[in-house]
Amino acid sequence: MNWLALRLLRPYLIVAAALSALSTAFVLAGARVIRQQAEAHGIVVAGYVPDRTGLCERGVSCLPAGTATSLAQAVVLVATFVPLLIGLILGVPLFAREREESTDAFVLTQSVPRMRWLFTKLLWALAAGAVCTAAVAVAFRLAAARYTLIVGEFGYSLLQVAHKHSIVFMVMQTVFITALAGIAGLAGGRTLRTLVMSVVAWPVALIVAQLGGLLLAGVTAVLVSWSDSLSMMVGTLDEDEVAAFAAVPLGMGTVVALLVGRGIVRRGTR
Amino acid sequence: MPFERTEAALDVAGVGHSFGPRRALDDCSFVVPAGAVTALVGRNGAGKSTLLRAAAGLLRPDRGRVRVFGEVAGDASLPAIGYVGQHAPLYPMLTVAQTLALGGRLNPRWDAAYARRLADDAALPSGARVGTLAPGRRARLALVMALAKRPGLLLLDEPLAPLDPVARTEVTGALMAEVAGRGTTVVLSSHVVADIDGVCDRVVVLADGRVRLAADVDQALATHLVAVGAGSEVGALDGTAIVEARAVGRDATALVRSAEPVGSLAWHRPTLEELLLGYLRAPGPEPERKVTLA
Repeated sequence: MNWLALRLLRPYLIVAAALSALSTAFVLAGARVIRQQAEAHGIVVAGYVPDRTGLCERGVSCLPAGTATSLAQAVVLVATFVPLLIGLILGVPLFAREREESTDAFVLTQSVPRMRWLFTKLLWALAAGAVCTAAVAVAFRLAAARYTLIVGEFGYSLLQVAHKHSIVFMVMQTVFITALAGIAGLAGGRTLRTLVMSVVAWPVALIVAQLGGLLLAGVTAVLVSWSDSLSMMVGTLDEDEVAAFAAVPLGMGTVVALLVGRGIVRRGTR
Repeated sequence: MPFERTEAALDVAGVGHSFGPRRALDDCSFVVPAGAVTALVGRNGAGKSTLLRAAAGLLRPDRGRVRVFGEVAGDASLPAIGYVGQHAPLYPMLTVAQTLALGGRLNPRWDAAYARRLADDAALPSGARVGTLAPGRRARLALVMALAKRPGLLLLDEPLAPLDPVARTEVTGALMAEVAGRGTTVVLSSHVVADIDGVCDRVVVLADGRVRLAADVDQALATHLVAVGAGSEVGALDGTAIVEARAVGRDATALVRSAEPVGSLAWHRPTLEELLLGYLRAPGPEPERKVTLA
């Protein structure tokens, strides 16, 4: 089943890997150019981050105008949308295409348990998506996040809703979208319908994740304030940790999607 | 033998299934004994494909149960079945050789030598991608995949539909050889009577999701007669025995459940086509009317 799952995923894996490699290269090269321009203008980025102290005001870019600011915004766009795109590339055709071509009837009547078909395909897609997005996320977090923290133009604040400077959050976005699109394709069996539904579900999922993350962070903060031992263990919450909390609802959503998929296969795909 | 021959190969009991408001199967019950070649006959939309999908475990019916060699249709029965769906769905991006190799990966009892021989007999080019094969060739490959799995029960959903007359003969020959050589049970659906005449020894007629007839072909032919005569004489026959009656001008023809002719009508044994068409044309039972008291 592994061979079949990988063979069917191959074209989508190639596209996702190429997108990941290009995005990673763009993030790294962009960060290098931004650093060079900041240094040329005598801007010490380390002095502004992580809390935009000094002369950097909220809503105003502290990077040199022109290439550096534009690049920083482009890097944020890449970091915001690549997790979604990788999730869609791997998730939408995962089952929808097999349902559309009725080849699921072939594989589901071979001597292999049906759950193995479901979970082998899903796990390969989720793992591949996580790796592809992790490459971009690590490059972004280590090389470019410090610059994007002090870029401030219209639209950037909107992007902050969708994007967190967190590797875990970015990876979980891809994992969730892959699982959601995969299961939607399994249920509906139409590629275009699955694509549209997944794209529409993305902002909804992000809002739910943000709200869930804030709730979890709030609960943790209350617990920490009550308990010295928890306070010692967890420490204070910074932006990264709050973003990591927002990844928890996405993880829970992924588990729910897998359970729904299991139910669909048990009942029969059509 | 890998499958218990004392069990019925396929046992369909009280199966009902709906797709939204449309009832696809309604209280279907019949048994296919091991080693039989059974034709599932019905018009388009009669429920043949739904029934075969339920037997293959691809669909869990809303009501009733389907057993294959005593196992509930599902994961446990998968090694026992070979299924070829309508339009012979196979992965179009794989080559013929890769498809055959895939059969080996997914089936522990896969007979690679037999698969190779059947593929050679069908002149399937190893290096050709499945998506580039003509529909007839693809159907042959799908049949090879089902046969080389060495199943006890072959479920074929209109397998002959995309084949040319020569290929039909060849596929039918391969099927008959499999049945004769290994005693494989075959259930094949069709709405073309000519495809099954001389091939099957049992027949199940489906209409509007209901089983209208499930019997041995010879027995069914022996217990039915066709009456031809004046409309008034045919109309005087026992109504409960008449399966279907048609008037042509002042004359009428009726398919009647009876072993012996009665009266002065002209009687003859029906051909398989006359028998099946009679049941396919027969009006279904009136749907139950629910009366609610105000």
